[in-house]
Amino acid sequence: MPARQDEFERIALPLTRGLLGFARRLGLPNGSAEDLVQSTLLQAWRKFNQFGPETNMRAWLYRILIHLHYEQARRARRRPVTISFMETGRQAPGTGRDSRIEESLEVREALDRLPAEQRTVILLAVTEGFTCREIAEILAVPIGTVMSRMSRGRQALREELLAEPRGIGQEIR
Amino acid sequence: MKCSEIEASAILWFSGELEPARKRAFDRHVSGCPACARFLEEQAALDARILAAFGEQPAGEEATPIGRRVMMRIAAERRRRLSFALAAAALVVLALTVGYRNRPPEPVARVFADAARDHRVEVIERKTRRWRTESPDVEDLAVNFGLTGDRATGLAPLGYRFARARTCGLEGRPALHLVYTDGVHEVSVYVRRGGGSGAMQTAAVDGEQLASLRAAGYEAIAVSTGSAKECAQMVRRAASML
Repeated sequence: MPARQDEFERIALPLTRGLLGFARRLGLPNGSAEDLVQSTLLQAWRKFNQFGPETNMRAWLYRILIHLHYEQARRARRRPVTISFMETGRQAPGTGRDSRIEESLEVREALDRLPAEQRTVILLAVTEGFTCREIAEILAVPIGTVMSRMSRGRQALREELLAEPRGIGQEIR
Repeated sequence: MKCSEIEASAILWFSGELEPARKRAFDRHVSGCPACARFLEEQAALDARILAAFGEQPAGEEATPIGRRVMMRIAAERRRRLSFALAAAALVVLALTVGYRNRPPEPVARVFADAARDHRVEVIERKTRRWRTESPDVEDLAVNFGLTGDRATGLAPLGYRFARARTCGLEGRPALHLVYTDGVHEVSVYVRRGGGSGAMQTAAVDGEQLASLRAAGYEAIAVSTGSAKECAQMVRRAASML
């Protein structure tokens, strides 16, 4: 048992930082993101006997994290993605932001307006660097579904971000 | 490859999942198609904007406490599981011990149950029965079991004398019921045909001691309200005289 614990610590814990970043990118406030990552790692430990040498630990952890995130959102009966400026420490629109922050907020807003399924595949591909095949494994959906969600999401983003810049101070959902 | 195929394959091209032949065709088309090249540039620019907006990783020290908390929880869970397993094992041992102490009595062999009941009804309670007491009558009964009258009456335990005899059934088989008395107490000896030999069997039923022993093609069963030792001596003596 201690050997398994050591193995888990060696393989899974180095991925904590990436998981935390992804949890925040899903729009969770800092505290909730940390809780989600902690729950993810604990659940991974409890299922560690299912983990084999051929299992992709990183994809497996992301799969657990996304599943828990959707579960929590379902329980809370709200959209799984929320952005809270107070909790994330970001400045609200129209409160002295510089252009880099404005650009960042514009992209975040555009992504936030996407359906959660489209945004998740785009984040997994672009910020986490997963291939379509890995994303299909993480989300337990066919690769064709991943590609169609990605394609529709990208198209919506292009239309949103390549159009006229959005007005500063617009409310973010 | 057509422009529409470029749009459809762009996602796999970006993720490096296009098969080599399709990738070559993809690259060939894009190099000669300004519209598709622009499309890919827009896609790349979009990815760059997303990365710039979302790509920052948390600092290492932000993740470290989470990992530490997780490992502490795991250690606590393991301790709890171990405690639970030990408690469960202790409960099993306790249950086995209590169960062994309170186990139901061993079932009494039917021959002993029948003999005890017969002795209680016919000897202790003295229910009316047709007994044979005279030598010729006893002789008549004994021959049915391949015995002489003298041998049957001579099976008396030390200090006892023959009192009466009759035929009864044990386990549905006929047996010769012989009653002996020392003047105060009465004991029963049952004799029936039964081959082979074996170790003495004993039992206690409702305060009566029983013992059986096979010898010389017979089985002798003694029933007494005395001690188990006395009962064993009775059956051993009877079997030796058969």
